[in-house]
Amino acid sequence: MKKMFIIAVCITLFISFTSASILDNFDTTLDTTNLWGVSTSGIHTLSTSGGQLTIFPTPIAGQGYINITANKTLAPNFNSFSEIHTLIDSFLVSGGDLTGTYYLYLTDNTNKIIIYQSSTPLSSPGKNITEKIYPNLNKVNYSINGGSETEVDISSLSDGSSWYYGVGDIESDANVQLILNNITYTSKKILTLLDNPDDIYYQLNDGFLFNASITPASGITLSNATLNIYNLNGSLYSTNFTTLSGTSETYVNFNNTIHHIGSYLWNINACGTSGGTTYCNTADASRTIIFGYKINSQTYNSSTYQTSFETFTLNLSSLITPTILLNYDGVQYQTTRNADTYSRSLDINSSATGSKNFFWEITINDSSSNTTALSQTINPINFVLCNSTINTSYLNLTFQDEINLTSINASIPSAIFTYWIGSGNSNKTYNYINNVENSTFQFCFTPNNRSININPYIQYTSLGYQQRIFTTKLSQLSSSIYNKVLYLLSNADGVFQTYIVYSGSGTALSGVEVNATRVIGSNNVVVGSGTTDDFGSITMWLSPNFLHTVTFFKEGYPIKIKDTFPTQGTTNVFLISNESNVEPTTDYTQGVFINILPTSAYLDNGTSYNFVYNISTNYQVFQEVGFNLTYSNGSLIGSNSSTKGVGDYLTLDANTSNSSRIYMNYYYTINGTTITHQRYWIINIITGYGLTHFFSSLSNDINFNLYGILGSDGTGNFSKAFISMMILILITGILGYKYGFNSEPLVMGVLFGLVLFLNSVNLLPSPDLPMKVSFGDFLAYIIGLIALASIIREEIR
Amino acid sequence: MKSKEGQTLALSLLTSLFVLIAGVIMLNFLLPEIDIFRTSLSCSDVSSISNGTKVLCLISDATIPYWIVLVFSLVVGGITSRLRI
Repeated sequence: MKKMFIIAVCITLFISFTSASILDNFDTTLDTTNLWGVSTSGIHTLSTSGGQLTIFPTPIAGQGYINITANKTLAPNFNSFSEIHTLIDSFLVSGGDLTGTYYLYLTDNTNKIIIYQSSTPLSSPGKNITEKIYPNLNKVNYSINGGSETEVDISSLSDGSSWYYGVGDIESDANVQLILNNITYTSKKILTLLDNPDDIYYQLNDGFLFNASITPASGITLSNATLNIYNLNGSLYSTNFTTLSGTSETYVNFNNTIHHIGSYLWNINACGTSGGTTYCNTADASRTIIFGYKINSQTYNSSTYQTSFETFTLNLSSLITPTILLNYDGVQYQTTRNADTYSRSLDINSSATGSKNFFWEITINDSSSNTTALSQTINPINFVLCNSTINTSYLNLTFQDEINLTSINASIPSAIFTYWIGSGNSNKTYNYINNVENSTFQFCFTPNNRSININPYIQYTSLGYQQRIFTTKLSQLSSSIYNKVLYLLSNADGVFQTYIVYSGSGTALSGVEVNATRVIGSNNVVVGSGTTDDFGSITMWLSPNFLHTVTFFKEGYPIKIKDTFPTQGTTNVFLISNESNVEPTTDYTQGVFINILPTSAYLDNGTSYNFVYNISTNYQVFQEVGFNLTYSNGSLIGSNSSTKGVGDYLTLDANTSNSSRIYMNYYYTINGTTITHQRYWIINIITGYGLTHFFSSLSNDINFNLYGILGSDGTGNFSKAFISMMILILITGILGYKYGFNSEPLVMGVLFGLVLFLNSVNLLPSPDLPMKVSFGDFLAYIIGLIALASIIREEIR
Repeated sequence: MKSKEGQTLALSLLTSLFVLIAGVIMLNFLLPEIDIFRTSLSCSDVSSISNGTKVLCLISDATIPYWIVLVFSLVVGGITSRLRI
């Protein structure tokens, strides 16, 4: 059962302001022992030593509050005051459960008016309650530590009873004590209390007012009020004046006079007169207003390290989309915008240390404003050989014989470690040389709570072994040490293998990262690495007895991987650029000469032919040329290819049986682009039933001297000429005699048809002529031209 | 009521279609006979057969084309004669 114990020290605080005249228009601090009439009651004790009013409640576990009691009925007549009275009570809450929540309140044991509640303990260094008592006594204005004011209506407190402050523990699980000290009393003829906007107020648009309540003391007549707006450096930005009248509390409003975005201070000064004397009062503290934009949040790391990649974000609402720059250590950086969030990521300079200020430069409509500067502390990073100061191991290098896997000692004639935390654009380097052979080399890093990336360039060697270079990037090394075994190959076990890397255009590529790996045990380990020199060359000491996987990489080029047994020679490697901004060779036919054999479009069935793809160039560089032969059903007959850059003469024997056509798909590759063409041959399959077979047989029979048609000279020219003449004369004669030839084009047309037929069946003579075309073909062309000319001439008439 | 000319045209088309179908069907009977004929005469061995045999081979080679020409001539002739073209 939880009991409510009230531990209270009731002190009657009788405020006896015996003389208002001594409380003139000035601020003063009173000795609390003189100001407050103090009495004790109950079981509590009170100390008034040292000008402090300290209440020591009896600690009761689980519940506690203490009261300071003032007797309202004994209070002076505030309505008769000629000043506005302000009491500032400094207090401490101590003891009990300081992690709990406390609240301050006013009470008369019937009503409880909470005037302050904090989620944090109201402990040292304490807080100030500013208590402003208005003449009509119906309200008291409280503020804690100069923050926003809370107006409390105390009219509900019953008159004639004691009313007092209380401090309570929300959790009711601890005992607390309230300590009041340094009570300050202030009186004014006019009290100016700023109302709106609140302090540190973000105003996004122009439609707002500045206002305040002006309360004159008794006998004071209000005359005017002035709004003053200041730049943050204290210079006056604008002022606005208005007249006032009356003797009671008055609210005054001013239209906004700020027309530039930025941060400003503002205050209102009010004046009144009494008996020819002017009294003025400005609110105790100016307020801050940020006009045109509102900073919702900022994110950044208050502390970072060299080479880190830091991101700064600003969430901001504004009238118009602003232009925002990040000013970091005096350097402006563009930001990227995502809705209301502006961000910028930076690589922290590798040599920067200490505190660096940064702020955001906000520009709207040519009006700029800077946010309050913040700072970021940059701490150094160091990667070195472990020593007594930097002793958190990140990298441990050991050495083994590549063949027998025994551990060996090695030296490091030269090593350069490029290391960083963030993106790598900012990095530090560490040079290390140690020509004394050791079994291990340990490198440490500070700070040891961050991971680092390392681009090593380690030349390592041992007596009886060839020097090797290790350059493979080591990513995200942490304080859990990374053990790296570097392999060496003895002088008797390896060969020097040279790779020369070219671009597609044949230019030697420097700076190509080359890694040679092979499987040792169950692991694929790097046994050689480095970058090509200006001649595109790199030489490695590799074992010829094992298959190595050699990887070639350069920014802007695709990775090329070759599996090879080193042979102590030079191997050329081509990397073809994949960058879009590299000027491509668009005319891949320029300077390319292709010859395809057989030239005839028709091939005999069941015959073996030698298919030729002869390609050459005097302009391009071929990566590969080749062709394949397929039957009409797509089945592959065979293929041939070559990687000679100037082209090649490629052949393939194939039989024409079993298909109606043979296709040759031939290609060449330039700069990664493959140009493909197709050529096909029709296989002349004689079925034995058609006219083709008939005329083929006829031609064949004639060639085989049918009825001695070839004559004694074996050419058959006379016989063929005689037969041809007979056919021509008989057919044209009979047709002319029977039906009549009335036009020259008709006769020429018939003659052309007959000559074409006789030529196709090999019945025209073929004497040796000093020209490449046969006589039969020549005759057919001539007759055809004459027939065409005849037709044209007839049409022109 | 259909005209007499229309009836004649329809009859000729049907007759010609019948001749065409019959002729094409007959081709399948001719083809193996020609193969037997050519094989028995060794027509493929041009260098060793006599001139008379070669002529016979040529005649056999021309049989199918001649047959097709014959069938199409009958079909076209039948249609055009009915149409009086």
